[in-house]
Amino acid sequence: MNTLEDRLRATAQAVVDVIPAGSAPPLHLAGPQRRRCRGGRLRLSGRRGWADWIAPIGAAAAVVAVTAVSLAATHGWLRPGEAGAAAGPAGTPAYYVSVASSWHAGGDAAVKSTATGRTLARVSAPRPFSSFTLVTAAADDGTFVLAAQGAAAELRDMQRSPGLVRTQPIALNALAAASTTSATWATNLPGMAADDLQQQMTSRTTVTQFFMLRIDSAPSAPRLSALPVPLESQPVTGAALSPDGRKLAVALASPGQLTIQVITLATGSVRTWRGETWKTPSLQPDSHPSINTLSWTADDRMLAFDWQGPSTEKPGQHVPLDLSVSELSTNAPGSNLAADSIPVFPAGYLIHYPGNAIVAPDGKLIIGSPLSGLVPNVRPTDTQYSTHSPYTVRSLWNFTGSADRVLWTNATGSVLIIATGFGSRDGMVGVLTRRGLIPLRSLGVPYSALVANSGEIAW
Amino acid sequence: MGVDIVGLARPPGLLEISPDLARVPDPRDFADADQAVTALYQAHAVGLIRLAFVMLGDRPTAEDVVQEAFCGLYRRWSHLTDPAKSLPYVRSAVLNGCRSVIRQRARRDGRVAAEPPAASAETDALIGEEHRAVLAALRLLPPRQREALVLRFFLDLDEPEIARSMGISRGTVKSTVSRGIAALGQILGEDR
Repeated sequence: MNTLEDRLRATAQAVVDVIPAGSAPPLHLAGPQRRRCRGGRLRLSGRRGWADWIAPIGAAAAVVAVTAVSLAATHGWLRPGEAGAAAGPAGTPAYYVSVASSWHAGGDAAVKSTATGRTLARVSAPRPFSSFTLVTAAADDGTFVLAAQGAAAELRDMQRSPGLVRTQPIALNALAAASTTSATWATNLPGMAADDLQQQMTSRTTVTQFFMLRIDSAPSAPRLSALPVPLESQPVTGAALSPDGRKLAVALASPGQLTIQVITLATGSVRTWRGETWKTPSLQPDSHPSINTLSWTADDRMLAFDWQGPSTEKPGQHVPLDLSVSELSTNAPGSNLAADSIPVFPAGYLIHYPGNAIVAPDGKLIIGSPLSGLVPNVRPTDTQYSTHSPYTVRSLWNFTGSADRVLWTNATGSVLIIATGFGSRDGMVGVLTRRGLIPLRSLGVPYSALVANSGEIAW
Repeated sequence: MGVDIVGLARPPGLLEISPDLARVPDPRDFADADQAVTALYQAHAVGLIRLAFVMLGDRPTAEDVVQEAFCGLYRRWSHLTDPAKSLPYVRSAVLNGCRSVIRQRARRDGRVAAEPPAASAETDALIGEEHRAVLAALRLLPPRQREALVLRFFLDLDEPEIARSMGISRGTVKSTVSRGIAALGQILGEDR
């Protein structure tokens, strides 16, 4: 094959990446479009006759409308979010939500446009919660779940206030506005009596409550509602909303124990899996093994989770961090995390800088590592990763940079959003396709926070 | 569901054949024009949009051309003597639509070879400089040569299919592709 034909075929592949399978707009054969199909002729770029003057007038009207919306948003005439946002690059979602608790005082959540980085709305944690600490998203580009943290003592005091209904369960769709007042919120607290709080929590205990945030395509502000999930007093290290938004997986950590809860949001029912780990008392508290990244397959049945920590218990010694990935069948019986999950990417391959791993809805496991792209220590011949079936490691793109953290994947793993730039001063987030990296500007979250923490941002 | 582990460290693989190109529905299997045209659109629209995009350099117009081609097929469905020929028909319609757009642009801009609208920043980033040069060079070719090369290398059609789509003989396809390659090489400054 000669060079020119190679170049033509390579260009054809580039076009395939720009216009991927499944990206065709719907065919309009019904309604007005059908009338157009039957009688009319589609006018393309040639403007003749009435189109010569109607088009500029239409364009001018559009400019006026856009300017009005922009001015309205700027001056507060419209609520945030009403202007909407275009889809992100390469088919990425239009919206993302970031939380700021680890790097910025206040702990608000910001709804932003992927394409421009512009803040479309800002949501504060309702009292008595002080900050949002974690966010996860469904696949519909509009449903998010936020974890809010607050002091148990303050929550207890509010529960005891006269006139508040302390044990009234909250309906999933009983939505409160983003600017929810504390009183409105307090009447909707999920069922935990004040006396129970008194008994279970000390004044210094921190509790976590989950909220659902919805962004409508219609011009309205994002809506925040408390989920019918019990307050959580253990540290939440990770969470993942299933692609259809029906289930929420939550990872909890305490010394010596890993816990995953799967909550069916329609009913509030909770299933729990627990696994014992070693304790490392001589190391920093946050170096205990913990589950950071959770992700679902499209059918809501398989949950992939990575967990990181010192690979062995060696009190008093420095031991490298390690990454291990397992999958859990959430429909199967059982409650033992170790016995009921299948290791698909064992410990011992990614050490020191373990990165993270998420499963694409179609089942591909995307493993990020700061060292030379992904899975640098895995050889293609190392295929036996599971006692149940062999899983072959294969590589996708010619991406030579680091993929410090995989933040989002499309349904097939062909488009990713990653944090990259490990070891350089120019850490950044970008959309990774086979053709390269498209930087996402004005993300609003420091690179260091993105890499160090799980759940700071979600698409 | 099993888990397929994917990393990022190996050079890209060979050109993947899109599932929509591998699936060829038989229009005779469908009860009416709506179903048949919709099925054909679902199977081939993306490939035809790519074809029009390469010809025109502008995705929205490419989508319009493909939509109009399928609308034309829908309008004429009852007159088709052989529904199995609907794909070559719609492919030809897309090529005709592209020629119309190019003529309209030339008339509007007063030039013979009108430039396509400026590509979006996203398209630029995805395609890359090397491939943009090839696409620009393709658009400088005479229309027939450009169509032959696009059908051959971008849609991966064989000579009989190209001949049917362009309404020319197989021998002419061969010579047109050959001349197109030579002309492209000259434009790109490449000796063959």
